[in-house]
Amino acid sequence: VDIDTRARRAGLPDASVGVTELYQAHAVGLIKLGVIMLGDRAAAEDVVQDAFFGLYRNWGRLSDPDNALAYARASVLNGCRAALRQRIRRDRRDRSVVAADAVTADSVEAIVLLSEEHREVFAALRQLPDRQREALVLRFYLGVSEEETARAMGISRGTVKSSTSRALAALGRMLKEES
Amino acid sequence: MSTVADRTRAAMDAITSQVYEAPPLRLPPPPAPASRWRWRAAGPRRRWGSWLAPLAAAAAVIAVAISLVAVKGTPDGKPLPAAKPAGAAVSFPGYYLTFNQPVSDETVPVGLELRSTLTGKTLSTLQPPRGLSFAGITGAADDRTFVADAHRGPYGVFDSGGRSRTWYLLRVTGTGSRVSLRMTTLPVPATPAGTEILAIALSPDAAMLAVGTAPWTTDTTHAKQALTVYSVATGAVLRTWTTPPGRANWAIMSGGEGGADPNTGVAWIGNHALAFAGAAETAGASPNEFAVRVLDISRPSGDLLGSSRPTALVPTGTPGGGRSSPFGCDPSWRVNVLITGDGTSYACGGYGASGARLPESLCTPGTAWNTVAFAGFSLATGKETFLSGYRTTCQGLAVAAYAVWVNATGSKVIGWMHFADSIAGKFGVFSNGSFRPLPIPVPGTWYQWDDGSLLYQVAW
Repeated sequence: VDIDTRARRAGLPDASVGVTELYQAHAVGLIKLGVIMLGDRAAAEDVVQDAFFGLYRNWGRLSDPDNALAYARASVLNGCRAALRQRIRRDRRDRSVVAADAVTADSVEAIVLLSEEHREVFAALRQLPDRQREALVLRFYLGVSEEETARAMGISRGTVKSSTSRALAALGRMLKEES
Repeated sequence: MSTVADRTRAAMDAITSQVYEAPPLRLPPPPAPASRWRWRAAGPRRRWGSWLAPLAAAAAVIAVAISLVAVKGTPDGKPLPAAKPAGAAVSFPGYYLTFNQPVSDETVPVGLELRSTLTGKTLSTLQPPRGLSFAGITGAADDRTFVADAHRGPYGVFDSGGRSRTWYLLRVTGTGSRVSLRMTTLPVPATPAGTEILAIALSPDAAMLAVGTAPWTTDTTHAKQALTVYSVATGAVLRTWTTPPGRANWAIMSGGEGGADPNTGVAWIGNHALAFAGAAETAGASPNEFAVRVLDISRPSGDLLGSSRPTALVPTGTPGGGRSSPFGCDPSWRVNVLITGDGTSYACGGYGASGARLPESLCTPGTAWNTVAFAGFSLATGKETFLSGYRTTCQGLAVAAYAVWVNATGSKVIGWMHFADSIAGKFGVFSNGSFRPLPIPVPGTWYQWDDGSLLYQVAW
């Protein structure tokens, strides 16, 4: 049974139509999420592309159309985590690299254009643990609800709350120390 | 002056300011209809499967028989000491309890598995009562008694906050690797729906169950936290302490890092006192400073903060480097402060500068040395004792360390340690400058363990 047949049986639009509509509505926001997580627009676009391709392949298995966006968000986060892991492995091989964080930050053209204030904040943001950074971006920047953030990250609502509050507290300490 | 949240949003806006459109989505062409050849090919596979099934079953029986012989031949096949905290040779508990599926799996009810700490082998499994799914586990000191809580569907540990909990007593019967779990319903009243579990802790003698709760709400202005002690035998409420309104985030620092109900947020000191990491609430302390608070359960019910006494402040390592700051507990895991059963100290994973003589783990050349370690801190004086860890050149937040078990005196920790230059990380016993690896107790990937997923998903 092909993807579209499965989708029709599940009461969903055809895969290519459904995924394309979702992409048009949410791709920019998800690329922004990827840029903040990875510090690299090209990598972010690849991660989002892969996420929507995965969504396309699994379209017919969605039990509810409302799950599609949650699936895409979770896939983007997973893709970002995988890209970061890959970067760490690459940096281990390449001993000329001093520190993974420093390299990724410096390699971003956009960061060079940032004001001193924003650069400081972004540097602090990049030092947060992945989970805290993800929670902060989803909740405070993209305005995703607590419940949807929890679904995307695969954690509980309580953890979303604690992660965001810890992230802000840590940022506050770091920025205070640096200023 | 703008707040940290405002500054963060502004920086995020700036870094993504050039992202205003997405490239075209590339999808594959629609798949061709299944060919007749493929349908024909499916037939023989099914036929092979049909006559292979009995053969596979027979092979499985042989494999089980072989594995039983193999298990019997392992050191773990030897009987473990009964009703003792740990075997003398290994000096940590022989068994632990964990969930039988990843926390994000909502497809089937979550059951429990009893496993060997030494080998990681599953020794016994337990399904939840019909229609329920396990969500929290805590153990007594005898290595044979646990309490678990369960909730109704939807299944899964993930996002189970706010659902009503019922309580069960689990006892390990048998010895060595031939053990099973026996479950009985506890008379402890069901936690009402709309309640978040902040902490569960079974007393060392398994006679009392401490449960920390708060309303399942984001409105922390008026919410109160409560710490209740129940009699395991009768379910009677022995004590209840609550926080004043508006302090809900601070009295008991706890969070569902692994999705399961937190089982280290509150600890027992012997069978007479409780301890938890919470707001220092002492003169001169900032709202971000924390202390371990000790609560004698002979004190009458009432104000949680007023009835408990703060001990020395919990030092926190500085995120993002901290090379010039002294060693402190990892702020990411500051809820992960494990108080010892003798009430003298607590242990945590952390980092910072220190003069501790520890093995070296090179992360990147040419950068300053840092310490990543598990340390014990005296509750009375705050004095630190390094249990074990490494001197490393990894950056502060590129490393992680958190503990999931501490022995009664604080001389041994079972925990997870991860370095930026190591994909595998280290899980095992950290003690006296040494490290003894143990099997990872929870299924998952290294980065899941790295982000705290082991927390609360194991009970010793």
